[in-house]
Amino acid sequence: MKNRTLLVLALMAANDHWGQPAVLRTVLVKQAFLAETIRPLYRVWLRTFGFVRYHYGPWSADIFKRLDTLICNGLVEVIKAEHRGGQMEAHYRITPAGHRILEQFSDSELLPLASDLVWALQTLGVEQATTICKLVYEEAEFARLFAAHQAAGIGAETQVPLPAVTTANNETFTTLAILQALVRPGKDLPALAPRDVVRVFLKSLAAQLPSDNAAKGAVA
Amino acid sequence: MSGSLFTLAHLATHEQAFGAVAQRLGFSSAGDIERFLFKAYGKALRKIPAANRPKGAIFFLEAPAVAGALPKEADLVAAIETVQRDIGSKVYSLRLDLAAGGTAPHDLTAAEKKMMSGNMWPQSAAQMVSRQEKRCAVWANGVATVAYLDGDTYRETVNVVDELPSGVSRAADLLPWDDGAMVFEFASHELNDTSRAGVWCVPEKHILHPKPETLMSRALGKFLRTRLAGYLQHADEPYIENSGRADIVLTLVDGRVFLIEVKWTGRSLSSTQANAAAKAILAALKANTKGWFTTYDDSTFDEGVKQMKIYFANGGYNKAFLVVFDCCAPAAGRADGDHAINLTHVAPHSIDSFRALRACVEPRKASKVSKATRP
Repeated sequence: MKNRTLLVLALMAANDHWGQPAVLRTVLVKQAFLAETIRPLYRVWLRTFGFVRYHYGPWSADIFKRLDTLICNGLVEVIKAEHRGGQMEAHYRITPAGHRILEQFSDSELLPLASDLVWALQTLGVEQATTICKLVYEEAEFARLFAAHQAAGIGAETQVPLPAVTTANNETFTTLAILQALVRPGKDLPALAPRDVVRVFLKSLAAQLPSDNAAKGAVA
Repeated sequence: MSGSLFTLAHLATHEQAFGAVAQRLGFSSAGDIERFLFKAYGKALRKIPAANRPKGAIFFLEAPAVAGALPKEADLVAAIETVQRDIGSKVYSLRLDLAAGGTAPHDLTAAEKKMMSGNMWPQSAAQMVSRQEKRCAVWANGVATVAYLDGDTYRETVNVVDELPSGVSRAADLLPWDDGAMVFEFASHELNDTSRAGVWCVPEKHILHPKPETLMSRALGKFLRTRLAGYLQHADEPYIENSGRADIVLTLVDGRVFLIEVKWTGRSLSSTQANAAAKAILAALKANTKGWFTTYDDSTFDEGVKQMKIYFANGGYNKAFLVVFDCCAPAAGRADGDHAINLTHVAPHSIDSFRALRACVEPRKASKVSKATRP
């Protein structure tokens, strides 16, 4: 199983493990984006998915190909499908066979990565598609690119590749590196577990969200 | 960088400091507590009618029997309702997964019950028991919670029901109470509203609607809810034992309780003429017809202070504020600020327990810019 397929399955398993077995398609894509973003924390140097800026959000057609493969092999099942705003939205769930297959990859760093990410999202109360989108839009490189495209008048339909988190001068990579340095054990302070580092990173994204009042002011 | 280093350092240090305490208390990390609050407690609250949600309740949180486990929603709903039902007699301890029944009550002593006010625990009580017992204590009020670890505030959340509560604080939009800025802002940006929803009847002649104090008081309460820094809750026209009804009782998140009395100076239309046409009102004004208008001058300050003293004497308030909205026509020397209080009017109480503020109101239509930039 390739890294990409493994990541999708690991995310499905993590959602199931943390009490949220049904995963919405949009949520899965954003979780995969965040997983790709935080992979340096887990020393995963091989890129998982390549994302593009498309219709406002980081998007990857490859995720759906991998998902189809998993469904065809009985590792993931569709439990609900519906039309929303002209688009098909579906809920997926990992099957017992999917869990069994994952046991063969227990030494992969992608498993704890996916588990920690889903856990950290839950500690922030992030569950719905709209909420995880808000968080994802604050990722530094995506936000920068999005702002530049808006200024340049590049339409939402245009697919523009997002840089990998490990590319030179990537702001998120720098942030993660700083964060890792900050959470080293101090005189009276213990080191943080990786999942808590992920939580702090997600909190730093959330901290950049405009307040309700500011948002209303901007709209007015 | 889009996220400041200061924010990163603050978040990291906060988590490290509290992570150590949380682990000592048996949690795998402080994140367990947040996950319980947002994923389990917040969801359970949605199932409980607002009237039945905790109101100033305290409960302890303990590590789950099974790592990462959360309770069933129905069990947690029942536990929350029990916590609120027994608020005056017991304090419960809940495991994060409600294992082994989940609840272990502690019967309150008479001395402990004395800390309650209005059948609610103040936040300071939750902090105190957390420090004394060296445990995780949660103070719950409606959809708001404050989690204390070893007596220190770990997480203060205004809403555990809505997702993503960690957005930037609204601090930039909020105003403090103590320096009076809140009242002046309210007077200059809310009470100046000359639309039908406002307090002005004939704004160009500075005539207010009948009984404007009720409108002013209610509007101030709403304004406090959205613009006051440290706002926790307020009560409109609460009954004060043997004294009548005060205008507003305001509680801040730091536990301070303020009594606010709202008065006004200027001219209002009499209640008996509430349905009079503008032309008739102007004619009555010109002819100075008796029975058409109610006027209050600066003697309102003295009357208001005396009234506040009666309410204040019932105890339970940190300070009493008299807010007088000056709705008179502009005059030289008329300005926002403090009004001196006569010592004899508040004796035997300390004058430091009282404050009187004058907030000038000038009726005018809000400009488009103002409408766009003010919430």
